[in-house]
Amino acid sequence: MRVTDSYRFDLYKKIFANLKEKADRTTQMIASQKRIMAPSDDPISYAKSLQIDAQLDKNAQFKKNINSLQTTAAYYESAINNVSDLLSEAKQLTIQMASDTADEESRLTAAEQIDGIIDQLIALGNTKVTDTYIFGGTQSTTVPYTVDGATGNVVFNGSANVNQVFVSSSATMEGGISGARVFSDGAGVDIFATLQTLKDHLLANDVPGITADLGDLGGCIDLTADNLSYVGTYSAKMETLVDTNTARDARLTETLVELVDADTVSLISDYNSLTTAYQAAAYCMSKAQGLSVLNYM
Amino acid sequence: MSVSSILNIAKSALAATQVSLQVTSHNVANVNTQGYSRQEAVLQPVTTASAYGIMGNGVAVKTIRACYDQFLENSIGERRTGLEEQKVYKNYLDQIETVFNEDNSQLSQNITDFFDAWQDLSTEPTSTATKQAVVSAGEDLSAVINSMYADLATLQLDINTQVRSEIDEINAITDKIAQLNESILRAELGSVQANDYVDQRNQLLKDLSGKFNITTLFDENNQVTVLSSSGRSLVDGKIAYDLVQLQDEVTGRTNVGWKDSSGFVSDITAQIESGTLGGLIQVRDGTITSYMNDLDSLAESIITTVNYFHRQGSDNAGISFLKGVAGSYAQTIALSDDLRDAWGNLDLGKVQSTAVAADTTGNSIALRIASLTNASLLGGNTVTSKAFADTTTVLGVAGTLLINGTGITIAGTDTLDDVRAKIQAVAGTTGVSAAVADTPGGYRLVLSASSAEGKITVMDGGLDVSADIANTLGLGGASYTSYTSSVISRVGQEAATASDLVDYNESAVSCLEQQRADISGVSIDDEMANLIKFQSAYQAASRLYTVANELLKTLMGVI
Repeated sequence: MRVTDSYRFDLYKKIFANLKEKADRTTQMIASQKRIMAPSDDPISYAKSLQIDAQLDKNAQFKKNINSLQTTAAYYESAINNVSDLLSEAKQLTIQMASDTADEESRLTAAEQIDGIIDQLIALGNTKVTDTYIFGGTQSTTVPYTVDGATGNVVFNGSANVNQVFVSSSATMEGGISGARVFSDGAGVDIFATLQTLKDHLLANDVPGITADLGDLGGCIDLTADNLSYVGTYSAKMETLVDTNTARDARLTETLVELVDADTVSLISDYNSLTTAYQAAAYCMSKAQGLSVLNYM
Repeated sequence: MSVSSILNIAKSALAATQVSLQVTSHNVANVNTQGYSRQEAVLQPVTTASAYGIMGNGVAVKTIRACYDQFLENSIGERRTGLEEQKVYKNYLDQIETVFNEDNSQLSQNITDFFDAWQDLSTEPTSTATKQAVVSAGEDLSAVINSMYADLATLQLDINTQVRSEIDEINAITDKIAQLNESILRAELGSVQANDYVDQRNQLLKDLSGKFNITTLFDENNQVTVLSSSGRSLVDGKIAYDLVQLQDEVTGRTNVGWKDSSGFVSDITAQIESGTLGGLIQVRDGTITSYMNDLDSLAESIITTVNYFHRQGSDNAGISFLKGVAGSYAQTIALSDDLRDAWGNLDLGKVQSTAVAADTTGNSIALRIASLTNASLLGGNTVTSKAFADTTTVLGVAGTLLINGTGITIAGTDTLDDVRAKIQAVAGTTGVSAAVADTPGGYRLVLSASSAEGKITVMDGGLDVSADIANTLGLGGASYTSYTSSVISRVGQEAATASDLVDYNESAVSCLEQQRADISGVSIDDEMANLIKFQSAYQAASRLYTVANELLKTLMGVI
């Protein structure tokens, strides 16, 4: 087969261009520490890496949501603990006033104390964090608890519904606790109504009434205990969600690293091979130039 | 036989050797000329009748022959058609890949950020900051999609300009081929080999083959007729037929016309299937258009779905969040004018969080839009449901099916056929028709987009994030991020394939060029050997003159 000069030099040009292109690409991969720099490098892995990046972003968002719920849960826990303390105080007072050792005067004084407890509970029910009332449900821009001027009853102005918030791609959690759940159970237990009635019985020196109120107060304390347990469970669940989220992050990150990160040692070895090949080709070309009759004529 | 015969023989030998030397010099001079076929002088002995029979009377140059294989030349041309086409694909797919590369576009990131902003709004539904973040994320996402669409449109414009240049170049080449046909005919009618003209013509034919798919036919007079794939004549003897730029008034694209001898122009764009021109047209009208449609489908889906829920906001004025013009959603996606006040200023109060006015801190709308990040809603041109045993049993699912932004109420008493009918009833609005197919697994609801490029968005249309009537029916598609990643992956795959095909075709052409070089290439070593050979022959022929001269002197001395 005849090897013509034009073909020979064209061949060397292609070899050098090819080797330089591969060496440049290897250099870029070493510098960026990425095996995949463009979709065409590995289309399937690139698509997977995009999806994993998106999942990591969503995970970060869910973690942010969970942290927000955890912060709010702390306020609820504090408020409900205070409700529990106030109800305990009211119960102690009621036991004392139900006994024969109390008289009308002491019951009047107790009525004022109960009134004070009601005011404190209203203040707790109207706990505000930044611009929202935390017990208002989905109507948290209005004051949840007000006193009806005509009847003197405490009125709930919020909603029983609360917002849902995404804590993972498939799950939502309640984003708050409504006052309708904390200060009543919708089935007869009503803290404000119970204390209002107790106050009326104390003012009326109605001992049987006061004694009956003890039972209702017990119901209120049980409700508060349930709510405390609920908040405790809620906070514990948030902790579990954070752990799950963190573990998921770690798995996704590990998968991403395996997909896109470059093996630097291997790349450096490849680069050395390419530079050696380039030098060898240049040597061959210089030797081939001597293979000409012109050098001997 | 006489002494003068020796002189004549010597003279013929010198002449023939001079021609051989000139041919060798011509070869050496053209060692790097592209398309040059080495030539050689074909010598033949001259004979004369004598008393002793036929006697040799020197040498003559019979012809100067170019060493080439026309079949090989044609094969290289055919292979170059594929190579140049793949080079165009590689070049432009690399550029399309740059547009879609997430490092540059951040499309997937912006989609995630957009729905994350709605997540933040769902946790703080009345906050001005979260509302502003949602608006900003909407603007950023719109800008990214607009920008990617504009980049693709710019590429189409570039290609359009190139198509016009290619048409001009093709016309220039066919004109030259026609001129060379005439020159070759004149030369060969005069019994002269027009080797250099043939070489030039072969090179032009290879160049033309690289432009688009042609057929070449050679006749007995070494005239080439060049035809397009549909049989339209481009060169016929010394006549060249021009290609014409045809401007499409609607799309602004330049198509390819062919003008016949009467001046009538016919559109041959569809018949140009390969080569540079074929590649440019395919990338402009096929590849880029397809990716623009993908962006359009993505934008349309985001706009119609986000707006469907946003318009249920408690403001009850049907406030849209995004806007876009039908048929050019990717180009025109932007924040809706509904979000602006009477003076055109952005009014954050118009960003909807809740569907119930009384729920002043409700987040149902924000939550529902945020949930779209996980929804498997963007299907292909056809979406098929899971299999059902029959079409008449009550399905027992109730809710709202959202198809391409239109809500369709499904009752708990509906059968598969009822669902089909309800979807078909709004086909004019949704652009999606419904049918029931009897498949091996059972009866399936099949939704089909009315246009070839259309994609179907189908999901649950209720505000309850836990409800999923679409999933219950087995309808749905990819999430926005997986759809985006699949489009980007497709770009990558096409770019990688084009690169591989360029390498493959270059190797194939290289093999053929090597074979061509074997036959037609100039080797300096060969020519140097020839040079020495002919130089020796010239020296030997000159010696004949000396001998003949001596003989004549001797003859004169006798007289």
